[in-house]
Amino acid sequence: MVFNTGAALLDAIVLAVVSREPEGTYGYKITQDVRGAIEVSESTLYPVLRRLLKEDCLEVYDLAIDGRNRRYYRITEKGRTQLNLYRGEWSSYSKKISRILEGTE
Amino acid sequence: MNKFQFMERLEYLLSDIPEEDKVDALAYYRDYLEEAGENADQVMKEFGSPERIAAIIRSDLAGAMEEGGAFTERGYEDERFRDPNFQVAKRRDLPEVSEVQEEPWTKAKGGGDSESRDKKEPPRTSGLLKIILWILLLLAASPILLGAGGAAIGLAAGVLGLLVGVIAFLAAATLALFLGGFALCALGIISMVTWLPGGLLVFGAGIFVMGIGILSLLVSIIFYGRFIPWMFRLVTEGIGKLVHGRRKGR
Repeated sequence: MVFNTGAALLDAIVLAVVSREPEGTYGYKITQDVRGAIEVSESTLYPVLRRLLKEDCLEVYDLAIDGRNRRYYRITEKGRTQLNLYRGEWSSYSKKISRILEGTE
Repeated sequence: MNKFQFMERLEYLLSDIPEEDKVDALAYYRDYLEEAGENADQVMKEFGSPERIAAIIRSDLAGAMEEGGAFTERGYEDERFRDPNFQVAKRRDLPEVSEVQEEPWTKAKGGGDSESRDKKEPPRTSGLLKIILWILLLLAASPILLGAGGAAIGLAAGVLGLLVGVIAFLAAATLALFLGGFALCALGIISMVTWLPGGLLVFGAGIFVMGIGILSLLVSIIFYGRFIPWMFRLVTEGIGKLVHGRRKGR
């Protein structure tokens, strides 16, 4: 991809990916899902998830699976509010860009 | 490297960060490799090395992530982590062993005359040793110095000679004063048996001479501890300037 993904857009994508799973999701799966949209390396998301946790946009809980704990990430109310804000911004931003790039009215 | 070795290495590399952060990070990456299953090898390849992952975790903790890196189409990229051989942390050298300058003082205060004479030896030896080493160094560096002119060598040799002379004189004078004072004291005590006032006089003179000896010792300590290191620094800087100047001239 030739367009850079800024920190805010990456936050938005991660929040969206996590919010799709009401029961929460885990690091490896989040990375693979994000990769469905943009190219990120396997080591990209830990700092991002950590930051979102610190900002209370995400929360974690441990779930025992196959005899060991798996750490799940779940979106919080604050995270949802933030995601809605991102959605609104993205909607107007992408429409404007599309209008110019593709000439669609 | 399998995932267990990877995690073991990562745990070792993170052993000095706060416990909570370490547990979090290790849990995340252990989970990650577990979930990757068959792809674990591919994932580890993309991780680069435990060192690289540890460096990313550390910089994130230090809050450096915002300045150093940028999100690009290829994800989060930080120039500093691009090299797989990225060093985890700045290597900090142990502080150099510095010469203890206070020690001679405390020893001189506490010890008797013969003791302080013994204790005075080390600074003199190291001073002389340094002089000898410097002479050897100057000889070894003489081709460079010759280029700068024989006058400099002459001057340096003169200063060195003066220094050696002063050092030898100070040491000898201190030694002589102590020995003389001690001898006078002994003589005074012996004389007191035959003639008390005369013996007392001689004993007093001995104490006086030893007092001057102590003064001389203090001067020597200042001289050896402060002046000589200062001299060396001056000479080193001078040579450095000389070499630097020559390089500029070319």
